[in-house]
Amino acid sequence: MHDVEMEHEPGSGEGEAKSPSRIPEAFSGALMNIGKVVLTLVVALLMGALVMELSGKDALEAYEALFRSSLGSRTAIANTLLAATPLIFTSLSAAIGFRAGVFNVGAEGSLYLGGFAAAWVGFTFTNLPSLVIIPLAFLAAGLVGGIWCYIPGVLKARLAVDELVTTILLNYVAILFTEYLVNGPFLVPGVANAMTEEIVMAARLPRLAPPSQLNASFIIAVFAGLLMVFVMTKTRLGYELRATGDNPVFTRWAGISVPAVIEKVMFIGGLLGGLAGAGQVMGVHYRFVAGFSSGLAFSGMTIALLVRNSPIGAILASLLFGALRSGSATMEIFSDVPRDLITVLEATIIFFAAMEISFDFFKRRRHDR
Amino acid sequence: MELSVSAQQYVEIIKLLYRQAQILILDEPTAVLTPHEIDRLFVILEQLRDEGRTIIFITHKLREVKEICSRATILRRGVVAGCVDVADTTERELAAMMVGRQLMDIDYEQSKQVGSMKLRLTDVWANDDRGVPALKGISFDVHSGEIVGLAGVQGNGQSELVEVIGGMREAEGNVYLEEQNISRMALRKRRDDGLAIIPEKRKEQGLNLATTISENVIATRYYKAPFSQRFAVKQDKADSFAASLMERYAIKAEGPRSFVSTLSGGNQQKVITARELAEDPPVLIAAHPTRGLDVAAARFVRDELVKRRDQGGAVLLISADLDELFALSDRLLVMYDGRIVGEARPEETSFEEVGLLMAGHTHA
Repeated sequence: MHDVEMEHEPGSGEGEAKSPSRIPEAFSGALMNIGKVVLTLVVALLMGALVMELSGKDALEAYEALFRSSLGSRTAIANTLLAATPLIFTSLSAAIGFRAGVFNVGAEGSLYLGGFAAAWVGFTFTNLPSLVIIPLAFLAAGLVGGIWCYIPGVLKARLAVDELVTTILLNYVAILFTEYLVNGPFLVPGVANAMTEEIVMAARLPRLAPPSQLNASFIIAVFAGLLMVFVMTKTRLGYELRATGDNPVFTRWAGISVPAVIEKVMFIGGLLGGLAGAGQVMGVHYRFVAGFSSGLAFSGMTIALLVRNSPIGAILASLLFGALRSGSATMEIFSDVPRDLITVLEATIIFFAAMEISFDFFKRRRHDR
Repeated sequence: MELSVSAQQYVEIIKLLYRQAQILILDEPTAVLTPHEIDRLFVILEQLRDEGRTIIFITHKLREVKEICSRATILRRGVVAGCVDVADTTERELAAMMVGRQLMDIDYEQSKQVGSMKLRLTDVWANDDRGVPALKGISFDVHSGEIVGLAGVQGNGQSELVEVIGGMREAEGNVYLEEQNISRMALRKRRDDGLAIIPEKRKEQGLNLATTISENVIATRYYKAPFSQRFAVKQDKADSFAASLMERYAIKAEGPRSFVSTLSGGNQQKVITARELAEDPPVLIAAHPTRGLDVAAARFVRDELVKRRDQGGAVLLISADLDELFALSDRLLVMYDGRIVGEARPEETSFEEVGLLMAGHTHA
């Protein structure tokens, strides 16, 4: 639970050997968390290997192909970073909610609405220069995404409506609404698929390593992650949301408005979801395509669970998941293991991460009632 | 449809009978019943008794002991204080056994100077979590330089009272801090205006066990200078503040970054006491501040309450421990069934008298 507090207390070097209890708890706690993460990953890979062996595939060969095609060349690495980009946003979105004890599942809806908002800005304001239209599109996406999650946030904070239920349901509303938009008011004649028109050149994010589609939204994602570290550990809001996540009763008695914290956290979670959508639209697709996400927000939740809501951990684990995803397509070609293997790995990770989380997170949720 | 509380109780009793229970244990069964429902319950219990069943009836109401029980065992602090035939015992004797007198190792001096009114409640009504009235027209005030002790068996509205004073429970009636009506204020504002609360449940309400001493002691001030600038929280300021409190309140721990979950109960309570008293609050609500503490830690906390009073603080001490209340209070209030049923100076009353009032014997 103690996110990234890895600072080693000064001057406690040698005395530790004699009395193990002198090791600063934050430090040993962080070590233990890293250990758990690594263990979870190892078990997931073993589980994946087991599934492959049982179905008569060569696991070693598959993993080798997987990592070669995700890390083997400059372009492969760039594609890994590309695949990691939306995951960084969505895992941060999930992490800030979970850390505050809020089970926000609404980032997927925010991602769609934010993506659409960014696309709309991108094909509507055709005369603006890049320096204006790109920030404007991100702003629109963040606001739309944030407000979308703010609604269930208010419902939870003021009326105790379970956010898990409302955000899951609102996801459908958002996804189907964007589908309606591209098939109705924003239908482009002569295009077979459900998608908007293309955004203007000025609104397209610069590529960082052509021919890969890796683009500037990766930098924004990493920056968002670093900002999140600062917010969570060094700010008033960070203090409030950590306290709320640790013990909402205590937080209330200290005089902190728990409803206000929940609303803010939900807004930020939605905002990050919106940015994820905007990054994909402006950096990869250059238009809004119906159903483009395929559960990016849910993979983000997996990552947040895995790294126990640490923002730095979320960035690192997103890179790992990005590697798995970008490598899986090539692996499919060269080792005849279907890319669904990635789903097996992610599911195993969820399984182990959730097992532990259910012990403390859900216990607290129940206690909260 | 939901059954009324009394109907739920009948269902529970029927369940026991259906299972052929020969021994029925009822724990404060009348707490949520109206007088009429209580009479009906007693009729049923008497029937069951006459059928030859054994009923263990746990209560803190003397009237009920006298009315329905044949024999009574009195528990005090987990020890049997007496076992008597009810018919041969007066309510006064029962009350004496309930409250007992322990030798307090220390006696505090009375307040030398009682000053202006600091906290006032006027006709406060509130429900408990189940929607049953828990406070029924509470009015009292606490002055500067005064410890007002609130005696009462637990569950007679004390918890709700603290929540109302803290603004965490909806209530009718008014709460004043000095001259200001704070009834509609958020707790943060009340705290900023000089209210401090040592809550009853140390580990849930008083502390965040998942974090450090530093983060716990800044919980009520992290947003103010010097702990905060703009949006940021200054960890180094929090640490030095925590370190100074640890020295001043003799909190035994490795350092400000030690986790409160690793501290002993006494040291945990000291962390809360330190946080709440650090800025010499004009008004302090202390709910069961010494419960579960060893003698030394309890004494330390009591000393701090008296110190605060001597420096002009207004202290409301809520406790189930009559020894503590008599030793510390300048004025005693007795709470029973959501009402203040008695008020006296400790030297003008007795344990027995207060005990009778606590047990609902209003015509003492």
